[in-house]
Amino acid sequence: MAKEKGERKEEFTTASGIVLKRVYAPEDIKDLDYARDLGSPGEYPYTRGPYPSMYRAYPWMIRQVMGYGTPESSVERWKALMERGGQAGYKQEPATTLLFDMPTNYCYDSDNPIAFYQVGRVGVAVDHYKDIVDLMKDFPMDKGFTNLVVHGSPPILTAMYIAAAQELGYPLDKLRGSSKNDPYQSQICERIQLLPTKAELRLCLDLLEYCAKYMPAWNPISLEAYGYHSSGSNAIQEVAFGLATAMAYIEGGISRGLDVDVFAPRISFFFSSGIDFLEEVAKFRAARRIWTKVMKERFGAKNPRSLLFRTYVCTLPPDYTAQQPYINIVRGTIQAMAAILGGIQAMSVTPYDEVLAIPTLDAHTMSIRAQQILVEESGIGNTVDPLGGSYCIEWLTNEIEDKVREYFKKIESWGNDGTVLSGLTAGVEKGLVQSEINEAVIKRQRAIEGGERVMVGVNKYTVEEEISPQIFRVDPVYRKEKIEKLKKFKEERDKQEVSRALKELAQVCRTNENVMPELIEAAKKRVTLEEAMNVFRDVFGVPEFWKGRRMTK
Amino acid sequence: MQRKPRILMANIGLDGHEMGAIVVSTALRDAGMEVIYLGLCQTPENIVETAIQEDVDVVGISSMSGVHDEVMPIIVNLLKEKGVNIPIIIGGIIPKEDIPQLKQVGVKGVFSPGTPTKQIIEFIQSIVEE
Repeated sequence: MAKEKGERKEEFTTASGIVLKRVYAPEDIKDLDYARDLGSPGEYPYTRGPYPSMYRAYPWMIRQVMGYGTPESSVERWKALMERGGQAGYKQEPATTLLFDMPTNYCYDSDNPIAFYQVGRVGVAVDHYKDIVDLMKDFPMDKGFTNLVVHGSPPILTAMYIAAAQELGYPLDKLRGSSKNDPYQSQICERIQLLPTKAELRLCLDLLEYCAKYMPAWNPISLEAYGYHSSGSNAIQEVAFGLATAMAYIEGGISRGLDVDVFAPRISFFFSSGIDFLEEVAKFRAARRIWTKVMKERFGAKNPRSLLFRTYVCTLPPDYTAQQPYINIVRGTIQAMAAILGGIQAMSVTPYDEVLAIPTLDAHTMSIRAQQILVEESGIGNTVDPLGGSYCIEWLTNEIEDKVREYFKKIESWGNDGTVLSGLTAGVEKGLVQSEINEAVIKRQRAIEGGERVMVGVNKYTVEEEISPQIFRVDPVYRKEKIEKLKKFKEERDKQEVSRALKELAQVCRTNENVMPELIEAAKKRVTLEEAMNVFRDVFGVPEFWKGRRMTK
Repeated sequence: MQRKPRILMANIGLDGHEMGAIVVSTALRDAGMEVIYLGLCQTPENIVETAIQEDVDVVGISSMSGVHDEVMPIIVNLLKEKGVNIPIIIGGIIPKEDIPQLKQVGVKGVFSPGTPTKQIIEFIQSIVEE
């Protein structure tokens, strides 16, 4: 049929497989009700944006993902990015997103032989609270914004952050930032699970509860939906699993007796923005509307701030190619435009060389400049939700919402009591979600190899001779420094205080009490990341995966 | 009857990025090979021991966190110490400029992101036949 019209393909689909019509018209959105389904920006159901003026008031935060080597080398990079206009909050205050090295994510100290080859390689190495002091001492922890992206044990790292803040003289209630405190995502996407699911969940909710009581400006759960998309599934699955996991944490918080309107306003999101431009724009709009309705209808939230879907975005690396790497700058810019037209709050445009190594400063600069051109030259943010009302975008937004809601039902059906919490926990424990992701990535690869999904430089428009940009390498001297400093730190601390703190931590773990106060106390007594995790490992046990492995000294 | 090529697939280092290894393992299986998927967070010792025990024809390593430069020579040397001659190949985030050095220490094949799985399959078939 299509070919009769002289079209290139039988069927045009989005990256997640939604079949697009040749053209959209009023009848495609004839049931759309402005007040019910869209609302003005800053009004229910927030489809058009969480705030009335959006980028006319404040541009999105340019917050590149960063961190490598030691706290000192990471601070150096942080300052360099700031000089270029990156790492800036809504009011140009310092804002950053910190990535940690793999040993930190797996809760091994830098001096553990298992960590040796990876200390500081792909993120900053943190072993104890003094490392956070070194990271933060030149930055305002009350006026700035620090996003801690840690997969292994966010409560331990956040406790160290709190201990450092107190030493630097900041009151708890002034700390601004977020913790990627999302054990489902860690288990499903990062494939990092250090403790049994139930224990991970308890610690996650301990942090949530603690922040709800004492840290009103901190986002205790920065929910990472990004990982679902970047590990190979599609945009619909990203929204579905992302929002479902957030619902599970909300159910968890409520089951602890917390008032949803106290903690829900501080749940924030971390999404990706992929290359399929129209679908991505619709994705963010749909996510906002679904979240608002879920919060209001399912959880009975009354505080308008509980209804807001606020998100940080990283542009999607699997869309990038190692071949002809400079063309990734173009991809990043397209992805960024989709995110902006989708109404996001903060962004990192993935540097073009991230498929080759951790980024150079030049590659980061390009990502920052792309965003500055978008804000200051392109006019993209000069009016709010310019694509709102487009027949196509509104139809796609509806389609994505429908498909996400079908996923919610599927997830609920995995459990035994109709809650998402029970469904998701069963789905993760049985590996059902992991299998969905694995299948999606295999399907994606087949589509690339079969040529149905074009990747310029990989399966089309390839070139023989390839330009290889300068690669960033982490100087091994940082590792040496880090290990030596850690040894000194361990020698100089009061060992009795350390063992007392560890005992107290173990004790509280065995009760139903919140572990955070003891964890913060332990951090102050110079307990290291691995030592704190070993208490958890002893008390809660380790998942099957780790049994019999020679991963410790 | 000629036996199916046996491949050991393992991810090195503390890292959960296993999608590349899953995609390649699936493609090798679909191509009629026998894949022993060792999985995430493997140490050089574990990999070498398993390769010997399982009597594999090829060891495939996935590296996503930049440890290939230091860890690959260790695996190659461990294999040598044990007196076995099993070809070893690697895929993942590996800068182009590191490839000559990896080949020099004895890594047979290096595959960057975007490599069609067909190319990996053909490469394995060619080294198994040698």
